[in-house]
Amino acid sequence: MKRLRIGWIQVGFALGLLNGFFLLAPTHAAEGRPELRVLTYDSLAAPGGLGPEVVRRFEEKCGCRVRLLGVGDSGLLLARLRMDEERGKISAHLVWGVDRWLWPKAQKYSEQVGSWQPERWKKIEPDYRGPVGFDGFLPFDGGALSLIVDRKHTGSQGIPGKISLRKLPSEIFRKRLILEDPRTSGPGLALERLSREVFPESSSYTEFWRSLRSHWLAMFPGWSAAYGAFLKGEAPVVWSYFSSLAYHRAKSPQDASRYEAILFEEGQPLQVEGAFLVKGAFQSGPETLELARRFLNFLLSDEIQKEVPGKNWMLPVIRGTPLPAEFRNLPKPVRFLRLDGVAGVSRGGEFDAWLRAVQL
Amino acid sequence: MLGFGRSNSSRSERCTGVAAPRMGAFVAAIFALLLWILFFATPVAAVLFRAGNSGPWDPVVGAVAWVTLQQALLSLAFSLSLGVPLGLAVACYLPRDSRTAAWTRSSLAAPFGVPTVVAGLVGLQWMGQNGWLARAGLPGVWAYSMSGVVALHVLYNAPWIALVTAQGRWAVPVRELEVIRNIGGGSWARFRLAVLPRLSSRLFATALQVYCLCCLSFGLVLVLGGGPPVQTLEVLLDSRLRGSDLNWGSAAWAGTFQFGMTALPALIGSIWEKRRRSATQEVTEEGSGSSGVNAQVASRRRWIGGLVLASTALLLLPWFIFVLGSLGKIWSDVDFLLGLSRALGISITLSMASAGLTLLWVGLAHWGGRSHPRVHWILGLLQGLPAGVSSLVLALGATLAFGRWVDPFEGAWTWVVVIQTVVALPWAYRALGPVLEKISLRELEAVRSGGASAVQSYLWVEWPRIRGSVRGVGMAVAALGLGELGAAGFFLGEGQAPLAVWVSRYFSQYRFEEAHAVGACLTVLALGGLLAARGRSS
Repeated sequence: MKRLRIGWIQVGFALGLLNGFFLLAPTHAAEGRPELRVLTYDSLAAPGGLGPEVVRRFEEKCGCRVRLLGVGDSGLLLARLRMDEERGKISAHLVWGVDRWLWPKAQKYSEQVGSWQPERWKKIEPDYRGPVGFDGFLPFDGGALSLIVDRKHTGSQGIPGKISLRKLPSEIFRKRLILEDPRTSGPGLALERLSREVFPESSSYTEFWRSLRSHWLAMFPGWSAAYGAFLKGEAPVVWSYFSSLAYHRAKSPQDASRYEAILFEEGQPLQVEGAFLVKGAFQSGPETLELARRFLNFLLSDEIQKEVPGKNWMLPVIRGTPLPAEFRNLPKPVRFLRLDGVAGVSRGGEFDAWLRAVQL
Repeated sequence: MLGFGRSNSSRSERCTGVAAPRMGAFVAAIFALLLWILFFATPVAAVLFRAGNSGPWDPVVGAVAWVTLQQALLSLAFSLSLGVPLGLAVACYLPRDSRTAAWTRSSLAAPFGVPTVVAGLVGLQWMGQNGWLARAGLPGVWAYSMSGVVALHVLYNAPWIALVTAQGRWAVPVRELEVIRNIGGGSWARFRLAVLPRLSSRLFATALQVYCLCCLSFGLVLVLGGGPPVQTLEVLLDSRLRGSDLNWGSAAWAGTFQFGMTALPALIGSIWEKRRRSATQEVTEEGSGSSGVNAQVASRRRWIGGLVLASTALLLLPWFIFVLGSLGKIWSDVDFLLGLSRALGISITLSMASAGLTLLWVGLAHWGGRSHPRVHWILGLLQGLPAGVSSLVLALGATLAFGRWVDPFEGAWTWVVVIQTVVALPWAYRALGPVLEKISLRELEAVRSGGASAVQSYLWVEWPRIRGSVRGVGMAVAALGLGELGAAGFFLGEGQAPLAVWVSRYFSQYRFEEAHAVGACLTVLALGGLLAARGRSS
């Protein structure tokens, strides 16, 4: 009997090994079909997400193959480009899902656009498009961020519906906040940028973060983990998207009043996600460049834009795109802050000042 | 290992207990050295070189290093405080050759195979704001703080320390204890004169390894630390390496500092251990009758033995509850099961490949060491050095050094295997060393003089003696590889994620049910493999 059991273990391991060798074998592009490699973050590329849906529809139209290369959280996209630069090899034609705030850093990896402009550029909401013309960054979706409170959580008592960012390090929030790390997360970066806007002086910025560090319960590397911890009841307040309210309205209408946004008197940061072409990725010929441009145009098409709220829980960027019922009547912020032009308070590294404030 | 047997080297005989043909052993030594240079020294040198060219010292690295050191020392202190008394109790109250002692040994060794990312999930399950401890009304919700990190490190490492302590105590010859008792020595005198000298050397080496592991902690700190300021150098390194911070210079500084913090103690420990072993020519005296006395003691105080047994079982309780808690409806989801089977295949392949390469490397190093005592000493020293390097530092180094040929998007899985091997090497080398060096020269010579070839003499004499240990160490390395996250997350391409990466991904998407199910699968696989190997080797 024992022999038989050990035999099954061995057979199991052998089958696992065989299976693994097949799965680890390098994948090749389908013969005869041009291939477009798109660097994106995991949740956009995940099965059931918007990414696979866009890929399926685009492949039907273009007769090509599109490969989504998921790299983890959105904050990791630039690191992958940097790695490619370091090793002198380019692995993707397009980046899809990068934050507008990272554009100044990402721009050096972007292909020169020349006079080319996406077909529906002028139909993009001005808040998402910004004052300048097309500079390579194509807005795709967006949304404002705010603190979201769970009113059913026992710790949510006394938390007001509107506060100043300056009041965030106060007793009512002590160990009741879940935040995201600005180094690895888009929403985390938004809060850090907002603090730069509100505290332009280096000393007040440092003081703000130094006092805030004893108030958060946890600072997670990514939004998904942070929001999941919030849903699990680990803390009553989380830094998240306005559209989280729409998500709860859609998923559990009976709990619609349970979750509320806490607005900042200074305004809410507006996150814009976009795509751009990678510099040096189109040396094989103009066909791939043309294909990549078609992909960018496709992202702005009605067919895709109307899928954005339901699949990615963000707002579409094209004016007049119909919104699902749960996205209507979201709270109105004092103002939206694009925060593109906020200067870095630190010298040297992007997050040196922030890290010194929270660590030293 | 192959091809020795002629008694032509008195020096190597003195060193290792067996004569080996110089040429074959020298070739093995050169191969072991080449592997070390290619897969360890070159990546580490690339990181050091980058740090040297990355501008001024980053003060944040110093602050994070201080936090890293604090948590590592606290974790070590608490692990020793819990592990040593437990190990002594196990050895005193459970007869060494009894079935209960065998079960206890297995259960103390088992947590070694639990992946750290699973440990993080277990930590939240117990110590979170909504965890079982909080629900039971117990004070002190430790998650998201250094206390949580230290508590999990203790749960992880204390059983290992207890196991080493118990083995050390079991190794004390009964005669020595009786002699001390006969001349009027009390229990303290017996402990100080007979037990402590045997324990101290084993514990020193184990404590160093625990300290290094805690310094290199990553997944567990990420989940349970709650973010800055509770972060280790490994977490800082990851964010500077992969986050939008993109400060590779600072990452290299962090890697360099980490290397200094861990490799230096590992080096000192390695030298100290070599000197101690060459000075004392330690031989294992286990089975020298201690079990008889322990059996008497155990029979008198059977209930204490039961209590000890229960204590060791208690250390396994969180892992078992975690596995049982994952038995939900997710196991009937066909899509999930299909994804799981793919990841399972990849995990098994990677971990078995790592185990194979590690055993090959260790074998080459030991065989090479038979060429000359000095070569033996140098190779031993070199194989101990990777104890101070994390998989992320090696991944960074490999990318810097071999970036032109290593494509992280296309699934550089061979590098995952290499990095997992280098990380496991010091432990495997230490674990197999005493077994591989303890060969009966007379038996080998007898077989060779009877006309057997080198291969036959190896298969007939050496392999039967080392088979059980090799299998046990191989399974332990495979278990370590199953849970490895840094290299797997760094190098594997699309659709090639092993189980540990899936746990992390599901967790980051807060799909707890899936994360728990995959984590449970990983735990069962690692623990099952370890226990099966131990069972067969015993």
